[in-house]
Amino acid sequence: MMKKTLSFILFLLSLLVFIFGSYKIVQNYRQDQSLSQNSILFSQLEASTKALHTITDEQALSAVYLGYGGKTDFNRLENARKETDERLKRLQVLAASHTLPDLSRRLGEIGENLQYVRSRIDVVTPEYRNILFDYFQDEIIGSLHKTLKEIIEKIPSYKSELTLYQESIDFMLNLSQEKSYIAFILGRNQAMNAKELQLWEQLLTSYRFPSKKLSAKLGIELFSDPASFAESMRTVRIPVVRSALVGNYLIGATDWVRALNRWSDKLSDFEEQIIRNIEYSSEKKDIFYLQPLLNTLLTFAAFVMMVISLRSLFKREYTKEGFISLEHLKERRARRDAAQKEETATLRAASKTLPLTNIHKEFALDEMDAPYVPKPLQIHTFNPVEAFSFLIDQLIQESHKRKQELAYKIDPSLPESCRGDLQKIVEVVRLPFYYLQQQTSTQNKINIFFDQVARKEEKTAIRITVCDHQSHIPEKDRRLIVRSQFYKRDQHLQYDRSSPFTPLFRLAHLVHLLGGELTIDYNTPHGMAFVAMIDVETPDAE
Amino acid sequence: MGLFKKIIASLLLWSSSTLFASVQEFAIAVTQIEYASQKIAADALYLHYYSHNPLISKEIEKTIQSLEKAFRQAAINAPDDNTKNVLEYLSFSKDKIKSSLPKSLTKEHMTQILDYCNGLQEGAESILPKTIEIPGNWQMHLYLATAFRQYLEYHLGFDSDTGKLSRTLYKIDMLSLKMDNSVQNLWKNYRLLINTQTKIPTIISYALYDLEERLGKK
Repeated sequence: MMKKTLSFILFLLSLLVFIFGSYKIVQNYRQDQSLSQNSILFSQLEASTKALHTITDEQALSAVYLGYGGKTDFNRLENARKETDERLKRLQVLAASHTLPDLSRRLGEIGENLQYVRSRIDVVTPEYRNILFDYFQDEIIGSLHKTLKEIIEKIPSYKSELTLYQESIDFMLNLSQEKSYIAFILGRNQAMNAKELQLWEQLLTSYRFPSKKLSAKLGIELFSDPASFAESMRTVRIPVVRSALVGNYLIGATDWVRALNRWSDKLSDFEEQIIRNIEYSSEKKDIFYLQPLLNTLLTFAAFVMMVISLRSLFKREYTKEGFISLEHLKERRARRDAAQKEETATLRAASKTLPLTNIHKEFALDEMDAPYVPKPLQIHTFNPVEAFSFLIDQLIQESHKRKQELAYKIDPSLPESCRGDLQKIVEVVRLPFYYLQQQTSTQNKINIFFDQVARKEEKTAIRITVCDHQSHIPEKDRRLIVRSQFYKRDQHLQYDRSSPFTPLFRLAHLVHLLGGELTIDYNTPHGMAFVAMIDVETPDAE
Repeated sequence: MGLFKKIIASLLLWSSSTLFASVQEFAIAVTQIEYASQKIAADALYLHYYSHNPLISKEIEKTIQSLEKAFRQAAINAPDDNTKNVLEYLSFSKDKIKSSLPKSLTKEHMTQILDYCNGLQEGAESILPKTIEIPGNWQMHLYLATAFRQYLEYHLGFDSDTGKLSRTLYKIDMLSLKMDNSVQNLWKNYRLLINTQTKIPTIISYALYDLEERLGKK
């Protein structure tokens, strides 16, 4: 019972752990699903960022080309254009997934605008501001930048990382604007007018540094010190400022572009680092996703092992302590049955040589398993003296076999003939006789007395006494035997089949059946006395 | 006897030279106070104009530190109690500037700071010994800072008088003549920039930085 309760509790516990684990797994699976949706957005984000970087490169080279009035190497610009087209194509492929419905259309527009801008650059248009700012900056880069912002807005998580990412992109665009503009000025190599100076001033003050707090929080560093950026920019800006109103600049357009590209490359690295940081944290989530599964399985296995080991422990311990398992009961029954069979076989083999064989025959003790059917009385007329004498003769012979003494006395006043069940009366003698013979040693002396106690009209009371001087039956058992006639017959058969008193129970029954009375006395000083008072009919008595 | 005369003469010379040295140190310290007041005012104005620049506030902090150092130097070398009293009073203005600066730079707030800086500059000028000649580059630094401050005041709408800036530019012209050729040439280019009616404080700040670098120690 105890074991059952314990195993049930363990089972419930493991079930709870399993359910909890499964819940976690489902939860993480959902998170994972949203992550995979994010991953499309992230690839779009990366692709648009790269496209943005290459377009700004093309813008700067276009500015140099325009500044020099076409008198410079066109190949570099052409390569830049090819790269831009390649990047935009890749983005177009990613645009097929329906995260941003406007992206495809917008990319189409960007392509058209690029085509227009390139044609005008090829003919070295004097309207550089219109090309560099209105088209390149506002239409093309602006549109892509807007797309990028929308993608970022669509990603629900990694707010701080993406804010920093956005700030880095903004900063890169500030840089690229100044890069292109001054590259044009330097290529042109003429003094700047007030408007141009003001435009440059405007570009200079539009710079917004990526938040230092955010990058410190995320552990990603853009510039170890913004002063280093300022210092480096100062070294390239001051030569421009010196000749701003004079012309003949001390720095070439290509050098300028190269100097600023160093910083855009750093920004590009920085952006990649942010994305890597996000990927790393999502990897961490992946581990988090697998861990509960592993935990659950391990816990479940541990519980199963525990239940099994506890079960075997119960088997060993509780049988020792008196707890009985089903297995133990079965085992014990099997052992007992085997022992019983063996015992019965031995008894049967032994009994064949014993005088009890008759009793076995008479009472069908060999068929003890068969239900006991009491035989009805068979009334005959007999001569009691002759019958008893004959019986005594037989008993004397059996006594001789066992080297026991037998003394007897048959009352001569017994009627000559009487009616009754002689066979049962004989058993009334034999049963105690065999009992005493069995229980006692060879030196025992058994006495049998047949007396006529009373005679009244057609009935004669005969007292049959079988006694010895050795045996002893405790008073409790004597009472039990005498009273056993009041119990149901089969009950005795059930309970007392293996008891040494079985013949005596039968005796009690027989006496009862014959309408007599049995008393078992302790024959002082030694031995027992079985006294049966039986009435027989004596019709032809005088 | 001759030896005694020599000793007396050298002692007199030593005492006069040490006296002169302390007066010159005092004058330089006071000029530094003047310069710092102009620089702080100019930088505060620039921060008001371009508040996203993360470097300006640090620059102001640095200038305030140098201002405090200059105050200590001036106090050590102060010739009399009267001067010390003036320095004490000016120190009060310095503290005001220091406590006001981290706050948001609204126009009213800016006006206050400019007033304190002006007071500081005028006070320092009043105790500056007239007999002592300040090294040229020290003067130049001061005038350049003043010019930038006046340029910003005009272009950011804090002062409509362009005369002040013109006078400072003239002073720099005069001073630059005493400088070497590279400084003269630079100044010629940058004077044009500052003189334009265009509002280009960042570009001007680059020009002034270039000049200051060329002038060397402030």
